[in-house]
Amino acid sequence: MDREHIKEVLGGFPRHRTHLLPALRAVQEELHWLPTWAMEEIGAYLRVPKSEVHGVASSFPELRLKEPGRFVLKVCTGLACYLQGSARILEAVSGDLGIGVSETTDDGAITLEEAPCLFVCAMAPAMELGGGPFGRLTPDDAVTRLQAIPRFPPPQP
Amino acid sequence: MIYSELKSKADREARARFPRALVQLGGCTRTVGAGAVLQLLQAAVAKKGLMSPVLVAGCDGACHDAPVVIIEMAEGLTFRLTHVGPADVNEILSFWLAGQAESSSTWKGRPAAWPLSGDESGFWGRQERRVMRDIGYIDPHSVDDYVARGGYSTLNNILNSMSPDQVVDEVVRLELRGRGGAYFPAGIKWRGARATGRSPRYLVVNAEEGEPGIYKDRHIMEGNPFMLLEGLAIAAYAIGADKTYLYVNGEADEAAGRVEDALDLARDLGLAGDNVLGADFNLDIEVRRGGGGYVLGEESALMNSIEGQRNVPRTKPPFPVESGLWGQPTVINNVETLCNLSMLLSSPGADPSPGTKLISLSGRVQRPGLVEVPMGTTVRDIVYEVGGGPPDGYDVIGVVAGGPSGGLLNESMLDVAIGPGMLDPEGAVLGSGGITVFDTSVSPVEVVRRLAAYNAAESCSKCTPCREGTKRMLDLLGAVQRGEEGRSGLEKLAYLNDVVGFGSLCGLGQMAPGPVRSGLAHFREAFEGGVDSS
Repeated sequence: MDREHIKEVLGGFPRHRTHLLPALRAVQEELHWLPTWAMEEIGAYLRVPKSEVHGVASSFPELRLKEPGRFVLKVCTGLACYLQGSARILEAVSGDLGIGVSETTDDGAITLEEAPCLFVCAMAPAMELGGGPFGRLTPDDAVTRLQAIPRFPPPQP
Repeated sequence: MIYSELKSKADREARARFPRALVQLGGCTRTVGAGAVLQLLQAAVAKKGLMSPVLVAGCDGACHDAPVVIIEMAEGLTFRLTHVGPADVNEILSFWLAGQAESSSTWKGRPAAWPLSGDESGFWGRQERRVMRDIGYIDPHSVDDYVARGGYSTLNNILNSMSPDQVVDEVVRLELRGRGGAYFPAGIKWRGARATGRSPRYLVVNAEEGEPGIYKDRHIMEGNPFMLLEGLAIAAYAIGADKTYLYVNGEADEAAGRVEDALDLARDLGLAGDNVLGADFNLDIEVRRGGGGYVLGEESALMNSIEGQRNVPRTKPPFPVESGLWGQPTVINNVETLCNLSMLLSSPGADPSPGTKLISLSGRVQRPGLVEVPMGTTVRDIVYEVGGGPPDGYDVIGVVAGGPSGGLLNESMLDVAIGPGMLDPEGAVLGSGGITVFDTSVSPVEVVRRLAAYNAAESCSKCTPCREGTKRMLDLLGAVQRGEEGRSGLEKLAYLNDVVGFGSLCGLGQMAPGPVRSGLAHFREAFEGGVDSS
C-alpha cells in the first residue's frame, strides 16, 4: 500500500479539519493501522500540523499507532463478561497462543487484546476475532475459533 | 413524496406482505449465530422456489432467546421461534409450510404464537414498550413497515400545523427529559439554542454509546432506524438546525450501516434533504463515526472530535446551546430521547408523564437483555421479575447501576424505584440505563476494583485529579484486596473520592468515585475483610 493510494483515499474528503477523524478512520481501514508516513499525508492534505494529527489520533483508542497482527483477537473483560467467566476465556486463549495481552504471535498472525466492553453484554462472555463476534462462549469454544485461523504467513502472490 | 402518498403505499405493502420471515439479527445476536441462520433460511426458501421474503429485523431485546425468527403468516397470525440454530432451518421451513402454523402451534415444546397470551415469565409483562414496540417485528430496510404503524404522521402534522416555537413549548410542557444519562429537560435545551438567535445552529445526535454495559441505542438503530430519523427531524425543525450530525459509535458497524441505509432511502423519499414531506423544511444530515474511548460520549469531547480536535472535554460553561460546534449554538440529544418524540407528540394535549426507560440488563440473571420499563419500576422487579433472578444455586448480592460512573447497590436496597438522577447518594444512578447484577460467585471488592480500573484507563488525562487520582484509587484498592493496607487505606480512598469528584472537569472524573464510595458504604464488610486479614 503506497502513498499514492492513500492520497487517493484522502481525495474523497473536503480539505477541512472537521474531516480529520473520518480521514484517520478511512486510512486505518486501508492499512489496518496508522503509520507515521500516513499521518503525515493526512496532515498535509487537511492542512493540520502532523504533531496535532498524532495528538488527535492518539486520543482515540480505536486508532492504532502500532501495527497489529493479521487478525486481532479481543476478549471482552468488561464487568458483565467478567461475571460470566471472561477470565477463563482469556486464560484459555492466552495459553493456546502462548502470548499475553497486547502481544502478537511470532508468525504475526494474531494479536491478543482485552476489550473493556464489546457492547453485547447480554451474550457474555464474548470475544471478537478478526471482526467476527462470538458470544455465550466457553473456554473450549474460544480455542476452537482460534484454531480456525491460518497460522502461517499467506503465500505471496 | 407527500405524506398521503407515503402512507397509502405503506398500507398497500403492509396488506400484501404475508407470508414473510424476519430473522432478528443485530450486533448482539450475530455473536450467537443469527447471521448463519439468516443465510441458511434464505437459501432454503430460495431452493424451495418460494417467493416469500426472509428479511433482517432488529433484536427485540430478549437476547436470552436469541437467535429468534419471526414468521408472519397473516394479519394477527405471527409466530416467534426462539433459540434457533443453523440445524433448525428445515424444521422452521416445515413449521412454516406444511400448514402446521396455526395459533396453537408450538416450537421446541412452547407456544409459538405471538404475542404471548399470558406471560408466565414476567420478562414481557413488566415492560411498557413504546420505543421498543416494533423493534424485531418490522423491516428496518424499508420505510413501509414504520409508516404503516404510524411512523412519520407526527412529523407530518407538526410540519403542517405547528411552528418551531410551538413544538419547543409542547416538549417543555410534556417534560421530556434526556435519556443519555443527565435527564436535562430536552425542551429547555432547545429553547436555549433558539433564544441565542444566532445561526448556523447545529443538532448533534449522540449515538456514541461507549459506556460499558449499555447497548440500547445500537438496538434502536438496528431495529427501527426511521424512528430515529423522524425524531431527529422533529428536533431539527424545532431548533431551527442548519445541519445535523448523526454521530455513531466507531465500532457499532451494524447500527451505523442500517442508519446509513435508512438515510439513503429517506433522501430518495423526500424524508431528508430539501423540502421534507413537501414542506418548507430542509434537513441536512451527515453521519459521523467515533474513534472509541468512554470520554467521547461526553458532549463537549464529542464536539471536539467533530471539529478535528483531541478527544477531551471542554470547560462548561459556556454550554453547547450557547457555544457548541465552532462556537455556534448546538443541541446534543441522545438517540433514545429523540425516539420518544414521535409518540410523545402524537396526541396533542396529553398530560406530562415520566415515560419509560430502556434498561440494558446484564450480569448474573437468567434473562439478560434490553427492556423498556416505566419510570418508577423498582430495581428489584427488573432483576427478579424481568431478569428472572440469578442462576440456580446463587444469590444476588447487589447490582451496579449506571456502570463505571454509577455505583453499587446491595441486595437490601433493590426496592429503589428508577427515575432521573441518583438512585442512591453514594453513587448509583439510573444514568443511561445499565444494570449489571452480581451474585455470590464474585467479591464486591473485585467488582469495584474492575470499575475503578476502567475509569483509570479511560481518564483522558486532561485534569490532574482524575488522571492521577483514579490510578491511585486503583492501586489502593489492589493493596486493600491483598491485605497490604490497613484501615488507613480505606480512609485514603475516601479522601481521594472527594478530591477526584470535586476537582475534575467532566462527568467521567466527577462520577469516577461512585463505585468506590458506594462499595465502601454498602459492602463495608467485604472491604474490611481484606483489612482484617492483614
